[in-house]
Amino acid sequence: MNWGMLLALLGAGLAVTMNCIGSSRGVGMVAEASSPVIAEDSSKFGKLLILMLLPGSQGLYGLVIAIITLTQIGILGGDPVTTISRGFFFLLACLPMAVGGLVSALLQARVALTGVNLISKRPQDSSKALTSASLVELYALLSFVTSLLIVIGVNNLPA
Amino acid sequence: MGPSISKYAFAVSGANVYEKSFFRKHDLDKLLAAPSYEAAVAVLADHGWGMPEDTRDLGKILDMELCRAWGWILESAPDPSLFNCLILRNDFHNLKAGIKCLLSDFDVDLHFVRPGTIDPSVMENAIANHEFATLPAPFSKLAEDVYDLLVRTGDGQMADILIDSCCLTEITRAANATGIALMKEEMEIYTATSNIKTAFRAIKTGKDSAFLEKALSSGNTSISRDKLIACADSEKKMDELLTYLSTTSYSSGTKYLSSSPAEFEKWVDDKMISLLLPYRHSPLGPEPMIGFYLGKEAEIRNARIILAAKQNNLPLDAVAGRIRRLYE
Repeated sequence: MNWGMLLALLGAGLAVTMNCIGSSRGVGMVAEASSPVIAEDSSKFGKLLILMLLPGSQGLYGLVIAIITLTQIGILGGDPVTTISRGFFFLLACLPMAVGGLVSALLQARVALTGVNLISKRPQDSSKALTSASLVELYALLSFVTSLLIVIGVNNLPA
Repeated sequence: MGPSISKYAFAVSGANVYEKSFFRKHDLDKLLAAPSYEAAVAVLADHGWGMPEDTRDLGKILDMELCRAWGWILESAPDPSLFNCLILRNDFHNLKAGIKCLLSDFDVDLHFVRPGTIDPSVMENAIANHEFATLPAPFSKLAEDVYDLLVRTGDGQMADILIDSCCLTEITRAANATGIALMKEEMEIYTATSNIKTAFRAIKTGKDSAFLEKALSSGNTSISRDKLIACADSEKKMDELLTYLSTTSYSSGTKYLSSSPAEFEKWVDDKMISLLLPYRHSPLGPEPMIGFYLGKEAEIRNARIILAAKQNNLPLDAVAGRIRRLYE
């Protein structure tokens, strides 16, 4: 059993699944909250669609990290992982995205939900709702960049 | 333990959309300024309220509107039974009305209020056929006791006391069972102030502690039932009661008790609404749903006050002071 490869794959898997869990719950909640507003006034759909999509970005970031990890560990390219320590480095590299993405997707969904209520009551303030929800995206991006840099740099570390 | 708060996204958002049709201050002013009852009803209809065939039946207009709001909770909340304690008092009212109407040959349907957790037809059949066991607890036992009491003694006041104290005790129990802090707090205010009103009226009319023992509900944490009962045994009963109440969290409201019980009721309603306001913009959880329903109740209470005044040609000044705080 190649434990190093197993750990590296676990990291890639966590990056994508945890982010997809957060994004699907987030998008689901915002879409649910948007439906009564759209039922009342379908012209608000465009503004609400952006809010619905925002918590979905973390799923994509997670996927990118997983793909890049696979290109580094011998699955889609790169040298195969042969040691436990290298595999563990890849697992650690994926964690910022896995945890940061999950948490930021759920919190971004909460901000987006308040935005849905704001758009429902005061559609003229929709830009404020979108800006507020976008602020949380920054932290998903920070997690993404951190994981990306570590994943790319792991092979430069001594085995 | 109720459902996870994230399951309330649809319900809360829908309630927010619904709340856009709630009365604002200027809507109330319009209603107050209506020259007649018919004109006031037209204002309500313009505002989107459903109207029964006979618009002179004020109770029906208001019941329809409240049932519509309750309908949204039933339709959208992940666990609507969590909110049952908001309408439990209607079931107890219907039980009281049902038994009394049966014994006095009045049309029971005219005296039922809606919404309730027990279907009025189930309540009516159970009472008419003396099949009290078909009602859920605690209604089955209570209905049997009250029916026996009325048949044996005809003591309507004692029947009212039994039902009212059981109602308040049950509301407190049901609110605690929900595990929702806001629900507990709201229902605590409602039940505790109901007990305060009962104690005040009982002492004012010279009732003793044995009466209060039966009339006061149990389970309140913000007032002491034992202290209220003890006031009825003291020498200066009313002074003793007011002194005790001044030490409770209701002191700022109980000052109105002696001058105007209606003013005290307004104070209670306003206090209940003020507790809801911090949750008004919450995107998730049961709290905005509680606010939605109690906010609608406050609106309906205001409509009742204004329309009843119009029906009876009362001066506007007398009405304006009784208007409750709106959920806005």
